[in-house]
Amino acid sequence: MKVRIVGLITFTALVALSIIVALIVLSNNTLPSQAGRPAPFIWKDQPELATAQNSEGSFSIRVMMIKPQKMLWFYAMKSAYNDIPDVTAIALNKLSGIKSDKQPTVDKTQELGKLGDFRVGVIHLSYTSQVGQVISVQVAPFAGAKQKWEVSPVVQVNEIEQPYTWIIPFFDKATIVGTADSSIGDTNYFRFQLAGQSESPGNTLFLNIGPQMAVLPLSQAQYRAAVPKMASPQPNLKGEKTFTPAPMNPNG
Amino acid sequence: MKNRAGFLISLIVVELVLQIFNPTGAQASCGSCRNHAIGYRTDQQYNGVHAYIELADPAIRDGVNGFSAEVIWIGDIPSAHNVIEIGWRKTGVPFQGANMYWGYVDSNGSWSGEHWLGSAGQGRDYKIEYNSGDGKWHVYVGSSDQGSVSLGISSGYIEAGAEVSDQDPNNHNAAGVAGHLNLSYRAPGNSSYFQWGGWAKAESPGYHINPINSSNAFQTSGYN
Repeated sequence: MKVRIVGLITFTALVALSIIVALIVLSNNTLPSQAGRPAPFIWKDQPELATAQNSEGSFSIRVMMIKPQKMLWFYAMKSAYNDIPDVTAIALNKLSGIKSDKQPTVDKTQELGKLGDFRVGVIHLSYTSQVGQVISVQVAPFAGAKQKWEVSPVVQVNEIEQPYTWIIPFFDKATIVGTADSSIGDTNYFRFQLAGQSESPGNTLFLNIGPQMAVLPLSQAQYRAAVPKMASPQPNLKGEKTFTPAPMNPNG
Repeated sequence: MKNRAGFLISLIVVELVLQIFNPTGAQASCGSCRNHAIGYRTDQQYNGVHAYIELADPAIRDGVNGFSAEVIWIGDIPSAHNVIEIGWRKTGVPFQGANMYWGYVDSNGSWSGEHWLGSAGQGRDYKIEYNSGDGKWHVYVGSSDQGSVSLGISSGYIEAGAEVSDQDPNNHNAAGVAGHLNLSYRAPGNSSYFQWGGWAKAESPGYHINPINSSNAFQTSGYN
């Protein structure tokens, strides 16, 4: 008899508990809270170190695209030479200045085209995630050149825990402007353009970046077939719009 | 023997009740995993951020308390501490439509939220700015001050875009196709707001932000 009573009490208590838990979960008033969180911040840009000049000309990183293990560094170079630049990469610890354990490698340097006096290209890099590393490239306008440019556009500030894609443009007042127009599926579309010029085949380079980070030049027609110009933003007229910012800050 | 049987029957009943209230068989939520499609600026310090965020209707099919949100953030983004946010969020199980909210992560990494602000409507102006008069960060919907908090910092980096919880191959959630328009910022030393004029971006696999023919507006989308 005693056993039956204990069993009945246990049964009743567990059923009641489960119903209470379910009701709590269903109640909006006691909605379980989940912390909001900004996207993982891995790469801090160093715009002041993204451009270098010497007597041979100038070299400037315009846009970076970063995935775990791979990077694309899109550059604009002004030089009297027409050779494909000779590029080497190195990773140093930001604080100690000591060479990092695992060094990046330049997989290839790809020329993409010419805009005005500038040659635009992309450096394909492989790297290993290491918090604190500054990845730099040294660029010679031709193999064996004594004068080299060195740029160090980003430092890694956190460990990579999820496979995001980071796209980092540099917002200086440079002659060549890089724009990451769209990501559609696993494909990205970038444009490089002479500043202040309207989009046209003569002053714009159109690029497709595939899922494996292969970079393929496109014609303007091919590009605009994939990335149609979107209409200017129109806030939903049903919504309340109360805010009007000033235009671009003239001081950057 | 009878006692054991009774206990087992009780457990079966409990399981049945829980199944009834959790018909999708959703897994426990992945509290630390997220998907994002966000634009950000870290080229200088900011003390104000604004966006007009459109309403969307993202699918939140799995995840015990999964959510999809369209948000602006400002603060110490690299550490993810001392960060304040405002926007709207739709939750899955239990279902809750898009409601405005704000919240913050303090210097210890503790989340304080969500401070619900009512239905998101069709689209709203959201703003966060530091007030040097009282040393607090204030959150606004339209021109209405919705709350404030002191975070121990007076400037930080800015982000805007979509955040979706339960990043997991077994869960299937989505960011709504929502516009973040009229993106603007305020920086120390200047009381005016200026247009963003471009952004860096971070995208989870399957999540995207795309500019809307402007350097001050983008659209988020994506699913996992």
